[in-house]
Amino acid sequence: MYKKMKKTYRIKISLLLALLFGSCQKYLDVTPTTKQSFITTADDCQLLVDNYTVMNTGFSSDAQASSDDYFLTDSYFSASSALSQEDKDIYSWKPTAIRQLAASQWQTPYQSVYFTNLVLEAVDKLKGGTTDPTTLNALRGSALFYRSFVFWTLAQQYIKPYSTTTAGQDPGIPLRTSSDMNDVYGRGTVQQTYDRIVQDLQEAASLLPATSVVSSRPNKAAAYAMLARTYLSMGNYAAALTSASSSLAINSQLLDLNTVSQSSNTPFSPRFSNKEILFQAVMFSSPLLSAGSASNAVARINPDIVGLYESNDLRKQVFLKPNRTSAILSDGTISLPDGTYRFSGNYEPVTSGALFVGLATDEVYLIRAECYARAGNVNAAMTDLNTLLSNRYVTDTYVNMTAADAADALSKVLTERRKELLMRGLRWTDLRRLNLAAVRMNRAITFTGSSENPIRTETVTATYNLNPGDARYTLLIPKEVINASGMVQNAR
Amino acid sequence: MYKIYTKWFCTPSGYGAKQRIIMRVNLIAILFIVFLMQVSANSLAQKVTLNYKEASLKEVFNDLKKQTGYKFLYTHEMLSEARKVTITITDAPLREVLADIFSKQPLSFSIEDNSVVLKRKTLSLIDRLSSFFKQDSLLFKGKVLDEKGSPLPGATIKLKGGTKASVSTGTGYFERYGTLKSTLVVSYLGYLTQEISLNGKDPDRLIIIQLSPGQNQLGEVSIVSTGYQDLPKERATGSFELITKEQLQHSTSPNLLRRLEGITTSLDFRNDLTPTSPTKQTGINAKPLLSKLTIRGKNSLSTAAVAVTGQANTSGYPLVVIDGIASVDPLDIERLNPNDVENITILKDAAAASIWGSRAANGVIVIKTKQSGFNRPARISFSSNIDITEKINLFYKKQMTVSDYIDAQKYAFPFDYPDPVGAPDLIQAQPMMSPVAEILNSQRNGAITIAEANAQLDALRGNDIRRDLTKYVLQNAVTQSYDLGVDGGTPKVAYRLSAGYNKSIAGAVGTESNRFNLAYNVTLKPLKKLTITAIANYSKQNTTAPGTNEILDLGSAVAAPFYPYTRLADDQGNPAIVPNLYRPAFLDLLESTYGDKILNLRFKPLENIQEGYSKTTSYALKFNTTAGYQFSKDLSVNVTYSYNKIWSNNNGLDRQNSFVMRNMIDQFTDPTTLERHIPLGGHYTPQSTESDNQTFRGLLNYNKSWNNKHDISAIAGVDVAQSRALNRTDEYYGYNEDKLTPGHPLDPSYFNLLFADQDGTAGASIPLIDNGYYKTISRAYSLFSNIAYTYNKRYTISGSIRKDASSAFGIGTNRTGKPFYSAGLAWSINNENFYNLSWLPALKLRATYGYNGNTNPAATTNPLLQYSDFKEKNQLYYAFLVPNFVTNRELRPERTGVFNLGLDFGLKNSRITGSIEYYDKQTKDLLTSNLTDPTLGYNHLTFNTGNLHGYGMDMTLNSNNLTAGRFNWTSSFLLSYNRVKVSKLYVSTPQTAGYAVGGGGNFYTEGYDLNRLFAWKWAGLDPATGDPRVYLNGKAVTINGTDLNAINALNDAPISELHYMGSAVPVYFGSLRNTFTYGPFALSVNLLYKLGYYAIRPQSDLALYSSLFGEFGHNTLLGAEYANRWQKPGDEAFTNVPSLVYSPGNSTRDGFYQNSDINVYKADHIRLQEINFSYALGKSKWVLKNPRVFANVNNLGIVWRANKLALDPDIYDYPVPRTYSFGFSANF
Repeated sequence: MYKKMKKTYRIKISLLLALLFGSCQKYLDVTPTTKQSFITTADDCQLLVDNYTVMNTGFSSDAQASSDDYFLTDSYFSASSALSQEDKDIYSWKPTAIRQLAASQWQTPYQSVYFTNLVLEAVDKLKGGTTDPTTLNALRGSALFYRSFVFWTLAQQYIKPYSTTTAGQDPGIPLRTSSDMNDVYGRGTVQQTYDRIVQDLQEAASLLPATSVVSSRPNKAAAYAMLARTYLSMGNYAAALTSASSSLAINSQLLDLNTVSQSSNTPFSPRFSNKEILFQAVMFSSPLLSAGSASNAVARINPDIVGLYESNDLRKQVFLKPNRTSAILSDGTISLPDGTYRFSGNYEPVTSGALFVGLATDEVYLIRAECYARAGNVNAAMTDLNTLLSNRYVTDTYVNMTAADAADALSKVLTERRKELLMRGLRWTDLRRLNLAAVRMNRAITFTGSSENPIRTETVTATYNLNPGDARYTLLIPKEVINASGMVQNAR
Repeated sequence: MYKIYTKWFCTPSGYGAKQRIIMRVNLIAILFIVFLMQVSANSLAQKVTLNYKEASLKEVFNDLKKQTGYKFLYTHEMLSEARKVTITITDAPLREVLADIFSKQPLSFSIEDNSVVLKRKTLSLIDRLSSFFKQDSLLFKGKVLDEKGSPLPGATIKLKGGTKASVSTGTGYFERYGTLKSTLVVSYLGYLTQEISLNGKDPDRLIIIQLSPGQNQLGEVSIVSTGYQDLPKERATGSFELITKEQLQHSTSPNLLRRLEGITTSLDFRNDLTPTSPTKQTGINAKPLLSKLTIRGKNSLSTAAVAVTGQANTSGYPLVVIDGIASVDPLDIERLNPNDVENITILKDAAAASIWGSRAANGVIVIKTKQSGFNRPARISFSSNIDITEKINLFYKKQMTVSDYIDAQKYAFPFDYPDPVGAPDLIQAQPMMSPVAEILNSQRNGAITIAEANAQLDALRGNDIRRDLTKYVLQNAVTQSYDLGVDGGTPKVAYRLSAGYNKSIAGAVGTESNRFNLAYNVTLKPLKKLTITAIANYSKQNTTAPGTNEILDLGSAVAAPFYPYTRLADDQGNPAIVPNLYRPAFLDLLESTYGDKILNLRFKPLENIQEGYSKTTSYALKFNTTAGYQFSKDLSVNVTYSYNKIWSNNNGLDRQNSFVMRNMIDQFTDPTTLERHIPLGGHYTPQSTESDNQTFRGLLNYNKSWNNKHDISAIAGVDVAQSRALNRTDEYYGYNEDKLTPGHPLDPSYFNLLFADQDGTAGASIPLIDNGYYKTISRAYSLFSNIAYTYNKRYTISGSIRKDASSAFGIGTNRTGKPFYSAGLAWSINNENFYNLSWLPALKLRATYGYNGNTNPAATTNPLLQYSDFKEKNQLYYAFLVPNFVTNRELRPERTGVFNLGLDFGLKNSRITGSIEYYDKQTKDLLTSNLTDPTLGYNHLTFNTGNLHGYGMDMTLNSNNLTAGRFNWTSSFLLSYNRVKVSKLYVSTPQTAGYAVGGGGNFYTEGYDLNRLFAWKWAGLDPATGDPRVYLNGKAVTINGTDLNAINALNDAPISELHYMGSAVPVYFGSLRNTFTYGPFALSVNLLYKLGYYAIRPQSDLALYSSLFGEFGHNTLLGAEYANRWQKPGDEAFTNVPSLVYSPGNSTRDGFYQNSDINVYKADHIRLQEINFSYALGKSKWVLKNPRVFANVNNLGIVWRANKLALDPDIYDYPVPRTYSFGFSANF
């Protein structure tokens, strides 16, 4: 009886084991959580590129921080606890200025490159499946656009200005186009960098929809605008002209500054309400670039630019705000305007150093105007300029500008470019491509006398110079990157 | 119950008399047992048929009962003396059959009504005399008691040299035939074996034998457990360490894991990772203690990444197995009631642990809970204790004086505020300044004179926030514990029921916790060959702590806004206002402008601490059932199902009156309309997790012995497990506790703030927490087998194999798991014929090799996407990538190969027993976080980083030093030696000084200890500036903090430019316990030691100026050495403390000084961990049996240290304060 029982049990046990073996793989193939998934669908891809923090913020800021748009006061530069020695070295164009850590300037932008590569790989796998090809095209276009945007920003900071003669030899940035951590990418050349950007943007422009629900998502107009910006930075004005026109053909809306608050420190709020913006992008919040407040201002606008605005130019009120200081005078302490201005025209509605570096129609107008001027088409250049400026002056006070010749037109366009695209992350590129010298001065502003008659004294405490073609126009790649990758550092 | 009964009728009149009374009382007791055994009489058939060979009397009775309906009345003691029955009889009358059976038994019977009543045969006088003269086969009777005087059932009593053994009964009673020349050997698991000469003993008098606890006695039948299988230790090849329930009594900690410290080898508690500060220990930030424990050093390292949302990655933790089931939640072990634990086995090597396969690499802790035996009278045990812990000593850290601090702030003021700080405006918040800066600013603005300013500053010099914190925030921690247990067993049912309750008040106000445990354990034998065990366990834990936004945190007690001279209360003890976040002038402006349209923004820390809470409640229910069927003598099958469910709630509340809520409500008030976008009321965040773990197991056991020479013991089985969790988080603004009305739905749009914050942000949306509802699931499937064969009690070979597949590895990688196997050999040398060392009666050699694995969910071959619960700034839902998960097609699972060599020995009379083990571990493809090219988008990731080589030794020595009358002195010495080195690194990270110095972070150095300490070679202070200098290429390099070139050159230098100090974790560690007993008194003293390692002086003792300054700086007190800083040329001759520089946020200069060899000290120390005293009140005639009172003192402090700085290297922040425990335990 026992023997019989043993047998039946044995059979039952082996049956049970067989059952368990058979269904083992199915049993184990579960997604760990309803909150997580591997990237398998077009929706997953869309959710990834809609990650605003990764895809639209945190772009490199050291190029803008190196520009001559602003200066610091002597006391802030020497004493502020917000500035690191690295920040000070970058600000003062020290030949050895370098970031130890990759995080803010290199790694964060490359993280969005990683996202785009994941999306591109997933879209490739989905092709030919059940997903609507339009959806896949839009996703591929978005990914290519975002990646190009990062590559271009990094190129302005870390590789030499584009020059047709040396671009084939000058080292570029690593063009990471796959997600696997085992793949290694070297620096390549400047030519390869720009070729990749142009090629991807062209494809993106062909794939993206004309408009998007919110300006954090790329669209066709943004892709053409970015193409125009890229060509401009390469000195390819003809192509820049065509691209700018393509962009304006889709979206040419300008914001009338008369409708904007003149008192607000963040006049372009809330976010995404500014119809000029084609693509919303924000840089890493650099402590050097923070506007601060009236009594605690940080980045103060270069006085050369402040002097350029006419009195009926609304940008003077909207973009600039006067700073104040508490002056200890013979008869007490009072608060006085110190004669400097801080920037309040950030298209990203914050007063911190997180500046808007995205694309907007005002820039596209200016690109096209410049290209027209360079092509000798003076009228077209002035028309674009006047279209833009008529939205910048007090209503009915703007008088259309004219230009004597192409050179005059170009000079006028470039001046307006400086006034309009102040603190927009573009000045460094302009300095490089226009082969300009840059000067920056720290100043100390003090008051003496009595409150009846305060006497303002401004002294330049330090002057920094950057000559055209200086090697320092190409920043050093963060040390952590060089250490971990073994890639070549830029020359000094 | 039976027990109680006999005792109540006992009269104290000597042993003999007592024995007779027991006999008389037996009859009454029998009536009770009748009910217990639920024997019923249905038929009255008188003729019976029996066919038994070597059957137990009970078996035969059961059969007879079925056939006749007669009840059998007896005590269990009687049956334990019974002999086996062999009978073949057909259709015979009951009386005849009984006469036959009882003729061969030491029992007689009588039939009364429908009952057969058993009695002991009483020896006639002649019988006794004859046996006396024969000097042989005298029946000696005795009682075995434990160290507390409680009866010890189950002890083995043998005649020395003899083979037959008696086992003590439920009352500890035994009988054994012997002569006056023989010696009784009494042994019991976990107790020192005793030998009692029978010379001169009177067979009529009970021999009382009291055993005292001892550890790992070789040669006894110690049973170790792998969780799947119980093995006699003498036949084990692997490295097992057994901890008995008696050993666990050395401490009264309600946390079982804590009790393992100081009584085990190879377990290193990294106390330097656990904050002592009571404000850092509760709430959601409390890390499981298991994460700070290593068994034979670290083998796998990834604990940084979170595997699955809401669940910490427990890879790298030792595996905990409770009653055979691998636990998923690392807190499970802390939920157990230590009084429910029977024993703990620690599995260290491959042969012991590889049966747990891919989770075994960091060692396995196997816990068995208490079970009752069959046939055991009911027993009630009770214990209670109270633990009182002193306040922590906030003045332990040697820090600068408050007056010096104020002078330093004076020095910094012109740097911090180069421009005068003017009046606030309404548009933007004006940030707080330190009170010293406010005074100096007023002076600069001309509002007060220099004399007034100095007077105000001097008034601050007398304050010290540490005094206020000690007075108003710290308190003595108190824990009360109560335990009650009932156990007992009938022939078919064995049960144990216990309840435990702890209530604790933490060392800082506002935090308290309690735990209630209920355990029920029952074993049934419904059929002869079927055993069913069921374990049910319930625990409920409550913790109440201050709100998560509470900033009165001792860990940062001297950080802003709590400047060291802050007063928390005024002279009358009323809570004081402390500036926080905003300048008081700005608040004045707000109040005068908006009046009562906004909430007050003044901050009183002592009131604020009451204005919120974080309450955690967790319920855990565990149900575990095993059915075992014995198919034949050799083969049995077990089927186990375990279900473990945990409900956990964490409810957080910040009341409307809390600073954080007042601030938030005010900020989200429209500046023009003064409409509130956040409703008045609190912010309530209920979070709940409901998780369950299920394990199903089929297990075949095969045990066979033949020819007295061969023993085979084998298991094979399958485990199928699944864990699921449901997580839910909600939040409510405008929460009103009294009316219980949650707030209204919030408007998600963008609002203008009442004033822009310090960053100038003038508008925002109301912040929402990551709320939502989601599930997690993971499944595992394992096949395993273990086989051991022993030949002639001398040679044992063992082998195991296990294959794991788990969904935790991620899709596409499930199939790649390789099997883990082990092989072992053991040689019991003392059983060899040639062995004749009488002074060393026990000697055994063991060797094993095998592989253990580590399931590490911190890496997958593909990135994992996580869906966010709320919208991004672009008003779109989005997803992010789970940190650390990237595409890595070359990911390989890690494996650890372990070699273990062990020697067990025992000197004659157990004078010294112990074991020495040597091990060597090679971990391949170590999965850990390491540096990557930031071009990937990540600068460190978890991937196969390199190989580790770990080796070491564990030694246990127990000695019986002195026995003189009632005095006994025993010692237990534990020593562990462990070293883990990085044998190979796959990454191309430059091996430069900058990465290696300080031994920090994720950087490893090939060829050096895994936890190693490198330091700069200190070159003294710069004679001109007092800047720190270190050597580079033999030359002193000055580090002024602004010359980044010099710093880069140092960081890029090869590792040879550094001073290699040594291991940063103890290389030698262990304990020495001395136990002295004198009659009912017992005293034990335990010393812990950690040797052979180095540590860097704590930051709080150093003058690191970067943390002294800054507008929004840390504002911490520097080390007391600040007073000795370099101040003028020449000072460098007698000080190493760098000169004071204003360098906020620039920690580079400080870092070189901090990480110099002058600041590294030898961390070796010996600590007096505990003194335990107990007294057994010892009058066994009382109703209360074996009452015992005890008193412990824990954490008495360091008794020797290698450093002359009076530093305790084994702490995180403050020394662990002393705990005094008083307790009482007894049985009924």
